[in-house]
Amino acid sequence: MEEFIQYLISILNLGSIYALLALGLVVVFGQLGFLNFAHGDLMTLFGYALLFQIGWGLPFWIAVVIAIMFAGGCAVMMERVAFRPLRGRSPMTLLITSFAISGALHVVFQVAISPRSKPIPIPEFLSGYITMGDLFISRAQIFTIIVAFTSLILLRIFLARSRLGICLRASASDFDVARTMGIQANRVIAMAFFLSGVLAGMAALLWISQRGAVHPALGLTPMIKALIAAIIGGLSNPKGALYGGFLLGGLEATLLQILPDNLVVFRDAIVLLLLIVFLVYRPNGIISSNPEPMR
Amino acid sequence: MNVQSKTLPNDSAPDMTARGLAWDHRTKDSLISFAILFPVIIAIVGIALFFGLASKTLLMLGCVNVIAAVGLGLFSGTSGILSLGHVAFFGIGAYVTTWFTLSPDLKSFLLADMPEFIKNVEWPLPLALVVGVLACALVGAVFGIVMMRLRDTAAVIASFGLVIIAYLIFIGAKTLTNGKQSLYALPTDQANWWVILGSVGVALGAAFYLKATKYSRHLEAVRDEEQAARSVGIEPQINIFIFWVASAAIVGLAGGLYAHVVGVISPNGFYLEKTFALVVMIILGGYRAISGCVVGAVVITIAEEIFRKTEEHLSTFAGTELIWGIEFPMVFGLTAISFSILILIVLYLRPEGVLGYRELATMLFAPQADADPQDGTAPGAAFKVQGDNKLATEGLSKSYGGLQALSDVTLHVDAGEIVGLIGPNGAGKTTFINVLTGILFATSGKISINHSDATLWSAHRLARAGLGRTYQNIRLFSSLTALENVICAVTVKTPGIGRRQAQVRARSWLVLLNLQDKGDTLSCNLAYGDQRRLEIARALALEPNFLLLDEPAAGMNAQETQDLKILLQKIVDDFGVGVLLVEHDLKMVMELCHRIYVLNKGELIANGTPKEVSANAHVIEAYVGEDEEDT
Repeated sequence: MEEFIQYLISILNLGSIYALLALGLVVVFGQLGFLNFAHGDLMTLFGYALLFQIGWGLPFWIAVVIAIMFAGGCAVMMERVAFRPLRGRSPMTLLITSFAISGALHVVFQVAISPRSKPIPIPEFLSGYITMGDLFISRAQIFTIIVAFTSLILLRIFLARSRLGICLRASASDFDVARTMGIQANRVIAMAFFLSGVLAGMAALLWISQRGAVHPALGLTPMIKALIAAIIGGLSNPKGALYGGFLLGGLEATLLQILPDNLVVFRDAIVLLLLIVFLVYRPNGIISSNPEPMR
Repeated sequence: MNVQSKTLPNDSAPDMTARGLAWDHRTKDSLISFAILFPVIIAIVGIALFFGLASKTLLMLGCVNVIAAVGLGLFSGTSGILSLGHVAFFGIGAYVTTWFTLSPDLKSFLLADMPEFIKNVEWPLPLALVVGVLACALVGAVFGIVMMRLRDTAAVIASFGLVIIAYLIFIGAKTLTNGKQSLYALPTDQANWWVILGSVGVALGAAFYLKATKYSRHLEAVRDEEQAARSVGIEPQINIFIFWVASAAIVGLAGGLYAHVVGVISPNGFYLEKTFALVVMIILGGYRAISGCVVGAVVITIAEEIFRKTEEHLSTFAGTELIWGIEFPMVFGLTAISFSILILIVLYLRPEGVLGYRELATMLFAPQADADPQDGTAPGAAFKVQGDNKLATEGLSKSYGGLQALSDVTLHVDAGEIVGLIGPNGAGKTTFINVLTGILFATSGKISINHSDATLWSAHRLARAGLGRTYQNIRLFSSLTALENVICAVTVKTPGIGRRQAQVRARSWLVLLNLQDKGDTLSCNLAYGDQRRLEIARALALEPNFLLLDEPAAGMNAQETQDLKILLQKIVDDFGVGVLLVEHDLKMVMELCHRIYVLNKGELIANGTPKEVSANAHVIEAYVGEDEEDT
């Protein structure tokens, strides 16, 4: 029983981080039709922003809020500098562009900061375990689940109720029509990028709170998994990102449980492989954007 | 179903006697490009060696890069899916080849736990390369099962997943790869110029050979317009698969050579940096053409060397104080960041690459205006549809959620008749054709061709079974010439046809549609009316039993419409094709059609001869209009 609860918690924990990441990817995809490869680097940017602020002596929570805003700002800048000049080009071009940006940022982190891992001091209450009888639950995991679910609910309210959220959804479902209805393209796209940056920052906070360090390739592995999770979920709908994220979390937690020790090194490889194999059966995702599969 | 297929003419035989004439444009372009590129590469290497312009290792690395770029470009350019995953094959090629060339002593030291049967072998490099290439082809074939089902974004991301998977396996499979540590002291002396240049020749030859085949043409058609490709009978998946496996093998060859040129390999060499290097090569040169990939590889090899030298030079300053106590940083990653920036610059300024998607041959020699003899011969002299062919639907319905786009449509078209399908805008005419040709699924009902149930057939199978179609919004293979658009259908219809013969036959279809002067024009550059007629030519080249025309006269002027009418009549008279004509030009429909079906709001409201239909009260009501709000 204890093991099962622990297993459930680790699914929710991993799943909610991947869901936040995948959501960030889908929000941008909805507007511009491409998956932003540099999304993982927004995570890394959050990590470094946090690192430096703590270094300057700012309190952890203030630093976190500023770092999340910073990640959002970086995403907006990325759009302004790199993607806006290419507006209207094929999604393939935008994808490769984001791939190149990711590569460049990677080098910048290595040269300007450090190629090595830098420890980030995590506040006391996030480390350690809560004990309930025989049950040990890491505080960071509880924190992750609470934060992730709160932000998912807030996001849902934002998308459903606020004016900007409705604009986002409108232009995601039909960009051209939305424009003719008077929605400003640049503003909505900037908003989407900001939102995706904030989501990446949130995911990074949760990721780092469990690992306590930041390094240049921090965002790469979670991002590539989230990319495939987003595709698996279905890119047309934010709900798909949730499904994909939690499916991925479940897969990973299960593998953690069942893989023998000598195969643990292959865990990520197996996860990726399974995700890709899943795509064979559902090339358009769980929530398909294309109701007419080829026959 | 293909009643006429065994009686296909062999009438263009005379020009087949001269071997040299048996080539089509595509083959000629490939041959000429190969005949220029390969000697030029050898000459560059020779000159550089003779004058001592570059080290042997650099020149060999350049050749390796050429092979890798050609391999990657072969898939990415032809399919339009830019693969980020080929570095995995580069790595697999390197490791597998190394297993067989490393001396048994070294293997006992570096890879002590490796299986005995590999441990004790020490093969010459060429033989080991064969195994490495085969291994890549095998892995490529397994992963190809995934790749052939994915398109666009999903395909790119999945291919990137492959790199990560391979990297993690290289690290994890310690017994075979020495984990994160490197394998070193590879027999570099085995990588001599014979092997290297021979491999360049093989890789270029293989790539250009594939480019000259119909498979390349078909995959390019899929890249340009997948739906239309399927409706001329091209099956996308098999073509993607062929090119994916071939390019995996070629990149694997490059990997095997790379290991033996450098002498040291480790998983980090087959990861992100190498991915960037490969991608920038093919983007820079223009990856739709093999020539572009070669040029890109050469440029990037030189650039990489310059960046590396600069970095070495700068790093001697590392740690010295610049100003105000700021130390000069340790410089590294200059190559990686320059590649990233280079990709951005090319994408911003010249997305089609330096060579602009064209092969060397087409840049140097304009295609001969018209080299095909026998123009003006009637196409497919033996193309005659038998009169008992019958296309029928029974209770065909299509609904989107609550919206009934088609309900219970039962109609039939016989060979040799022109049947009109008319109805106001939004009546479901195009939906009907899309369901009939396998683009959309029917919700219920039945499609039959000659009494066999074809309801669940795929679009390409329906096309092969004799359904040719055109589109309301033109869908041509835009980056192919008019002639090549038609050849696509010819080679589907007659798979075993000679290349030259296919071209001759395709040109005769162009002649029939009065497009003989436009054969070498890219179809995207044709005038609107020409594009419409080219679509008909392409559909006819499939030698279909039935031709489904979706508003062929839309946007045509009176003269063109008149010509079209005469042409359709001729097609039916000469070939016995059954035509289903969807058209808004009622005058044309009334004059041409033997029978007319009228569709309104997804339902057939009338059918009969033109006279009967034009007198039908329901039809007049649907056209002239009543209250629209009666759904």
